[in-house]
Amino acid sequence: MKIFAFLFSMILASDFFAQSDVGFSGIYNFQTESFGIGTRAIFREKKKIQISPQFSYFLPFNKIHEWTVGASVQYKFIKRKRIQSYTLVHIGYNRWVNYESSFMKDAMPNNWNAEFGVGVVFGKKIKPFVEWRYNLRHQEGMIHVGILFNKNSFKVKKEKCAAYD
Amino acid sequence: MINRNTLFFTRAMALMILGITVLFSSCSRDRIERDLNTYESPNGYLDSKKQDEQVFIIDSAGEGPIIGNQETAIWGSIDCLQLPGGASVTYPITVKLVELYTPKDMIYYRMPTVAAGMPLETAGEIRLRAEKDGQQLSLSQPCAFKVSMPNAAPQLNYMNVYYGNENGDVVDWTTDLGIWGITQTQNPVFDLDTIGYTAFIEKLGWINADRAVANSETFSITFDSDEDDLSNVMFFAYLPDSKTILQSADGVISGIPAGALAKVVAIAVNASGDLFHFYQEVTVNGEITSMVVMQGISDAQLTALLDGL
Repeated sequence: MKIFAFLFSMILASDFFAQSDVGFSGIYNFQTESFGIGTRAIFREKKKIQISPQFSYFLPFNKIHEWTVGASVQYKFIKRKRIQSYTLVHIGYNRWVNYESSFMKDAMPNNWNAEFGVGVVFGKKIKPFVEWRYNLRHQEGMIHVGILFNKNSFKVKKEKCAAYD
Repeated sequence: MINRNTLFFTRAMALMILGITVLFSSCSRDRIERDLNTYESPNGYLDSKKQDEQVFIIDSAGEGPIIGNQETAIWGSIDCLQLPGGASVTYPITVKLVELYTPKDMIYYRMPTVAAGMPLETAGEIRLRAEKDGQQLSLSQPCAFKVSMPNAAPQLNYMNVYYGNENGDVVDWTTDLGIWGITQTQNPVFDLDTIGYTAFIEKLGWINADRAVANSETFSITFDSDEDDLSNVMFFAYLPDSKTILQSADGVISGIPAGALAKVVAIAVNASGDLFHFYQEVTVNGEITSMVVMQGISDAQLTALLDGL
């Protein structure tokens, strides 16, 4: 898991950052009643179809302790000034850490997950987002609430002094 | 031509419909909840097996007694009966009797022998009621009916008259007539006669020939299962040494005296109406958690099991 986290951090820290969004989120899985944290990058941010590598981690105090690394393909279908809506399909490798404590008869530590969902992003620089996703394998719904940043997020607007005009 | 606003709202509506559809589509909690066999309440089955209430139409005075199918004998006078409000009663009247003398019948009727959470040794339970034109009659004060309850080996000065205090589906046994505002005038201890135990009762309703089980400590059995949802399963424990019937509440049978042998029977019915059971014999010397695996059983097999308790 540490390797994946490291690689993911490297991607976020690379030149892609200059052209893309990166962000983090809090996650709640309604069926497993578990809280998680997530991080993601979004490439082709200006395009209708975007690619988003993602990593999520459901913390050990939950009923389900697991992490997932994968990527989404997002289709932006509404764009109105400061609001964008998109649908997504996500494929990921899932490591279910405490699978042995589950009552499921076919619980396994290594899984491939497919998810679909919809999301809304607000703003232009610092961009809060809300995303609802459905895990097809485990038939679970979850909500991601987070913030995306891009290269403009922390730029300070230069003020011109009229005296020097 | 579709303008931008129409397109926006069309997409928003489509998104909303998709969201609602998915939100209410099948979600699963299999990863955190057990995939258990489910059952329905066995009350319908137990009602079909329980002792019938015997009905006697009394249309004139006589010597008595009224005798039930299992030889319960009742002597009483119409002068001792009153309508709600206290008015006197005229013939004909209806007397109704239920007799529960075996563990099986007490289980079928869901009538455990417990007084304020403490186990009772029982020599039998009866329910005696009287009606006039559908109105429940009561005994006027001070007045009593004599009852004799069959017993093969009665013991003198051993069993007390307990009255059933009905609270919803639960009947708690008590010797305290004061809770109904009745002043006790009769000996509350059963005497002996040729039938078995005999006493004068001062209130109609549930009557029990009982004795508190001597014990310094009681324990519980908690039921759990990896395979069955026990929420609709009904558990009973029969303690043969004291002839005590206990019934579960919220998956726990409590009030079992230390050292007692408990014969535990669980009964449930599935959605198809099939009968399921669990049986266990355990000597209780501490708090116990019993892991239950319900198994199918025929009516005849379960009847035989209960007969053999």
